[in-house]
Amino acid sequence: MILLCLAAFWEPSRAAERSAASSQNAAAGMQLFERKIRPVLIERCYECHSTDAKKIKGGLRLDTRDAWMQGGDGGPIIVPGDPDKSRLVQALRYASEDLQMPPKEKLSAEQIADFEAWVRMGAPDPRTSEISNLKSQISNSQTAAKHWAFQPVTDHPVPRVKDRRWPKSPIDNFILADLEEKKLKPAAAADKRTLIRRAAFDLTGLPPRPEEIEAFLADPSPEAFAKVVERLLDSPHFGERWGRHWLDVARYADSNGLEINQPFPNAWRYRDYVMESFNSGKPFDQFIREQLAGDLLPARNDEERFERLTATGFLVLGPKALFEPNQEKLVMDVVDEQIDVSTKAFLGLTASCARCHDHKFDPIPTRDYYALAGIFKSTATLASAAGPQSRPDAPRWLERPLVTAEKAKEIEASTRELARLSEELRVLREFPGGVQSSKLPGIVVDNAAAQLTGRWKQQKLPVGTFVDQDYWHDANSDKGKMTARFAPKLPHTGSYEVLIAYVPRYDRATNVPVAIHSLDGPHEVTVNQKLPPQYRNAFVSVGAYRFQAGTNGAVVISNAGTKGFVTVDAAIFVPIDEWKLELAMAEEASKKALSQSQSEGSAMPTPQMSQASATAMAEAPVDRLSYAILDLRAKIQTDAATAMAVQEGSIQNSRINIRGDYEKLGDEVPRGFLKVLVRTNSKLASPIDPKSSGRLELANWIASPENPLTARVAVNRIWLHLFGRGLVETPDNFGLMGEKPTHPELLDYLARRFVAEGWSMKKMVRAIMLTSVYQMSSEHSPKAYAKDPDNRYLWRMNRRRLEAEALRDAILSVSSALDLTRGGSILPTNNAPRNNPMLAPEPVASNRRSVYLPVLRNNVNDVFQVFDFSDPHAVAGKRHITTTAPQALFMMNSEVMLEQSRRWAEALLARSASDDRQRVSGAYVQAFGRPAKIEEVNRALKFIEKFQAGLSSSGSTSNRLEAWQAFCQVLLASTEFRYLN
Amino acid sequence: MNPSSKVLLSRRELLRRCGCGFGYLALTSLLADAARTVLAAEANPLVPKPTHFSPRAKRVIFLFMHGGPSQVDTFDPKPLLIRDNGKLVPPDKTSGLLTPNSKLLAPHWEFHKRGQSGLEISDLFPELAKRADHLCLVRSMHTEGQDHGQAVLNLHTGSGRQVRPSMGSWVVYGLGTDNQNLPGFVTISPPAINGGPQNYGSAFLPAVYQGTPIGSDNTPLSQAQIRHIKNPKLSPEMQRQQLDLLQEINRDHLKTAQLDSQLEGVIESYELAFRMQTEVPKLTDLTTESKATLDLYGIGGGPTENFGRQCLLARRFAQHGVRFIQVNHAFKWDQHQNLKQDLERNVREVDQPIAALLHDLESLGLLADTLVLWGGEFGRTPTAQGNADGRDHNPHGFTMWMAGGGVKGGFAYGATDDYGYRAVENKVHMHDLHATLLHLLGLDHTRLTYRYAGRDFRLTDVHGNVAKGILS
Repeated sequence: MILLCLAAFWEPSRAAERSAASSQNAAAGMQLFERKIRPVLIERCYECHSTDAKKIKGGLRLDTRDAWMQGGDGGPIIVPGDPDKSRLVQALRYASEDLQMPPKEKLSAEQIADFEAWVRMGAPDPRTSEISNLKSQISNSQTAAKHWAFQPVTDHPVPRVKDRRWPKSPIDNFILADLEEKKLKPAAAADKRTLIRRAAFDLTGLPPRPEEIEAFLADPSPEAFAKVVERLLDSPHFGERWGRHWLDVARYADSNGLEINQPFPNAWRYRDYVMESFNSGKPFDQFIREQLAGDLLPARNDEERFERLTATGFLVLGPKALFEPNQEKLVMDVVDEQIDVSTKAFLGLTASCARCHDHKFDPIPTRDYYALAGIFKSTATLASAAGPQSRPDAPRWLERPLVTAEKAKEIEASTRELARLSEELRVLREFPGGVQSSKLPGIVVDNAAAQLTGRWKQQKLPVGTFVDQDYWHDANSDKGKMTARFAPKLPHTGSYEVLIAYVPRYDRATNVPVAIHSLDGPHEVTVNQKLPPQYRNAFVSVGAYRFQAGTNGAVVISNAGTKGFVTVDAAIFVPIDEWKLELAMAEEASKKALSQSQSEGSAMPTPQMSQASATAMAEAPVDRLSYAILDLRAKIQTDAATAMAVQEGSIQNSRINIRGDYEKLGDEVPRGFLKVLVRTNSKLASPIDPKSSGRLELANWIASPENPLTARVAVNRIWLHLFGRGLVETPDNFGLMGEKPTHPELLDYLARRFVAEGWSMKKMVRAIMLTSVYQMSSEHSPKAYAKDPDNRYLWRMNRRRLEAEALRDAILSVSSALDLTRGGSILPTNNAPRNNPMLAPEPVASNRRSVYLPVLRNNVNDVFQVFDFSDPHAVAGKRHITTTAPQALFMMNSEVMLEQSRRWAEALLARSASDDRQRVSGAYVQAFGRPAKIEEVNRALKFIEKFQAGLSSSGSTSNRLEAWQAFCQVLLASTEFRYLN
Repeated sequence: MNPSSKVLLSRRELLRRCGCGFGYLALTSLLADAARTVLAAEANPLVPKPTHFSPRAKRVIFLFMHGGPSQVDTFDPKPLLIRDNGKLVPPDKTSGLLTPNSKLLAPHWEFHKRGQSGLEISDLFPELAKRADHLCLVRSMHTEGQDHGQAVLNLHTGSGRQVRPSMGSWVVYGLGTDNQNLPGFVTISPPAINGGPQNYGSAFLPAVYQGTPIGSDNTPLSQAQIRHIKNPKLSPEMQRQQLDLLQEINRDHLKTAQLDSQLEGVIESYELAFRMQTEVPKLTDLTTESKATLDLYGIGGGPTENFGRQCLLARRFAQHGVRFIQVNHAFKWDQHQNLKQDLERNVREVDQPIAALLHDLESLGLLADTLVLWGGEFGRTPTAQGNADGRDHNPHGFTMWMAGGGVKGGFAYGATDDYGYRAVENKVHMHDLHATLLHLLGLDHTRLTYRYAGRDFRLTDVHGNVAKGILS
């Protein structure tokens, strides 16, 4: 009956065919609804769940049937016919902590029973009025899909312009057409000095050297600037500069950040990969594929395979909440971070907004987010391998070996050898003499327990064989004054074999008196300590004697009447039966050893013993062994290079996490891409292989010429770095909330050209620089400024500030301190302070280029922190530009500034061929790329003179240096140095 | 007011608004002139900004007890916990929270009614207890994060998982600051762990809003300074000479550029920095305070020395128009063991200085519009940890307190369950605390937004309800 009733509600057309009984039930249901349900809904629910609500909570409305059928953010809330499965009922029952409705006070038991009955009846509801703007996104998505950025890139005719002489390239036509339309005149061309400084910083992040400026000035050919650009593009510093731009986007860092700020010892490989990609002219589409799916791309050789593995570090570099105890939550957070970085970096979309709800502005439904999430969930990013961390259960990121088969074998051998040496060292440290008393038969009295007379000297160097920690010697002096008494505590009366241990050497005494006190009375023997002892290389027997139980017996060794060193180490008292057994066993063992060595024809040292180990044994054991171990470790570390990289994980689709909560699961969504981009172009709908994560398909989909966003986003980033502002001002957001392009047709022209020229970044950079618009001066024009104060239409070049890295590198470059070594890591491997993973690693001091300074999340370098380096936790295609007092304080007082200006001043003063006027002028060329004017030289010299006089009356040479230092610091702190005209 | 819409207005305005860090000298003298304030606001992102509604407090002093102070030993009396000391926790209280075999641990200190209000506070805080009538205890705090890192970040930024601006930077972003010669947001002796600088960082907000650290939690405050505040070599006179040349060269450059707000901004930033060099050391120099004041805070040796200095410095910043001042007590409140001994040590260090700060603010007439906030990243379990005299982390229920501007004094809000474990009545989530704090400062937390990556971000994300019950 209930089932029938249910069907009636869900399939109204067929309901008519049902019996009259069901309609009677329906009538009863309506009655229940009107009497019991509707009033409660109005009174207790509408405040938050109706059209009239101030704010509709949870995206759920209860004021029409269609509305609740559709449900809220968490999907449907009523399963007609089944109260227990209806989340509405669960909420009313206050069944779980997380979902209790109404929130302020539970309904009465009777009211809850009404709801249960109503749902059981199929939840009849007459309120059929149309659903309005509840899911605004759904209706919106039609309009949103028409957003410019989602439309295919189209060809636009190169605009005609009035001034035919100005354009050097079609790019100029697009710019000039707009300027002419707005009645704006482009600024004059920049002078050559300005131009080369601009180009040098833009392409390499370094100032032009004086001789480079001279060469450019002296070259009258129309290609002079093109030659400069070419030279700079070919410089390895190009990759350092442009690689760093990309690292901002890739939220590159050398430590994890957040609360567990572990260093990433191998992040630098990804950084070097990026720089090398820019230098080698790698096509951008390939660059994308490698970063998203390099591990899945075929490779021609190991080198290429390693390069592509390293590229996927892009997906691993994000900050991770490594302390998160819940694995699923951690995984979903990592997935979210990967979606965020991938969609922002390549597509300029903020897809991660759709984690908890449909994207508020862009046509990205939650389903699309979880389609992407499935791809990354099927990708392994975290490793649970134990590592050097305080909590062994904290998962780490994945690192994959960059090792050839040959190297792998070598590493295996080295690792085995390492284990062996470590064990050797351990034993050596614990028992430097090689014999442990606990492993000896009988009752042992070590020298530590002996009663001494005279001044015995301790010897514990691991040279020779001895028992436990050390032995004594008499230093070959005080003859007749030293004795050592070894008194055992014997368990029972009987016969014992007595053996004494000594350490033989050429300088030992040959007639050491040894007295045995037993039941048989005192008995004396002499021992030749030059001879190697027989038993275990440590002991010699002095005979068998009868002893009483207890402590009456003893062996006393003395140095009376000896010549040469006397050593005492230990004495053992072995019950005679045990001793016989021991002898028999020793004989057996020696036979075996003899036959073995004969069959192998071996000699010492044994063949598997390495050179290092052999040397270690032969000479100073502990030190040698320790060094051998260190060397071996270093070798293994170098051989066993690893890179942060991903691999295919367990292939799965993701279920929707309702409101982003990993515990509240909705529908499973097949792995896939963003529908809005698929819809606009059918070619972009490539299926995902059910056996793969879909990462490769995703990479291909993003890197496709058909993708309307990828090329546009990429060329916009290039434009941004050459003009200080993108054609789209929000480089990481091309969605509806992003800025519209100032020059949409130019953007499309560039995107087209970029793809047509093989996604070549260098070609695009060159194309943009060889235009009139790039080569304009930044001079002011009151007329143009009045019309376009923001210079949106590019009537002049923007004056741009040097970013943190360029500023620091320029300072070090001028002072000649800059170390131009390329690549590699300067992050110390133990850069985790006091083993506290919560503490940020320490910044590393170095004169290397800024791009090589480790980027430590939560502990960014001084200069970077002050000069708007982006927070390396997140994607940042564009940096803030702030001017702050801490920047001024840095320029005035920081160690960096004081040290570098001093260095520079010293270099200037050391120019013996120059006089002070030339020094000032030379300094101007170095700092500003131009010589000083006469009045500037005069002013500088006057300052130096006065400053020097003010320092003190002594007038020493150090005052002269300090005055010059003050002057040099002024140049480095000046706006002309800190900005590009 | 919606500051984000202004920031987005135009590139020109953006550049001009960011034109100068802590603000600039030329404008400071104009601030009194209301008509010109508008002009100044265009150029300087730190000038005072209008609030959404009339504020109850103008500034915040946040006393951060790093590690998670125990609520049941201090501000949350639980008779049943005392009665059932040593017993196993009843099964109905253990759901998903405690290991079943934990034993209840009664507080070591007795609770008594204090002041006219009769607010119950334990004997652990004798000095503070005397100021009970100022305190507004929130006994129903709860938060997220079982670990320090997540919880500390949650407290400071509203998110333990994503990098978000700190509350101090939000406040300065929303309100600007009164004294353009000082930072708007300072944090005294901040910790380097558990997120470190992220706890006073500005994340995606412009860097002008980030907190300025003074020292760190492992150096005595008497040796701490703001970074680069002093030239190690030059006298102020010599440095002025140097600066004069620099500014001449800068002005030449500006002249060629004719008009450039960035270059103007740099020129002004140097003047401000030079001024700060004199202002800040004067402010941080506590020797100008009277002996009576120093004694009040316990400065002059003894366990109160360092925290006393921190509190007195906080008062001086408050007096001089700093908007958000955080005082950090080192990571000493994590009593997994030695509860009695270590809590007594902590209190010996902070009790007198905190009481002194409240008293001092009041006598200077500052308490009425200063919100003092006290607390840690979470509380502690009412049960013992292992067999030790210690308690584990507890984000489910704990106490923080406020005093001063806009909150009821001598008042306790909300409640935990019988043993002080979970907040059950008038629960105040960390997001709610943030919403309440902004509300007291005259800001609607749902309207204080910043547009970043295509979204309007808030301190409270999509959460937060003002705890209206505590408002006076």
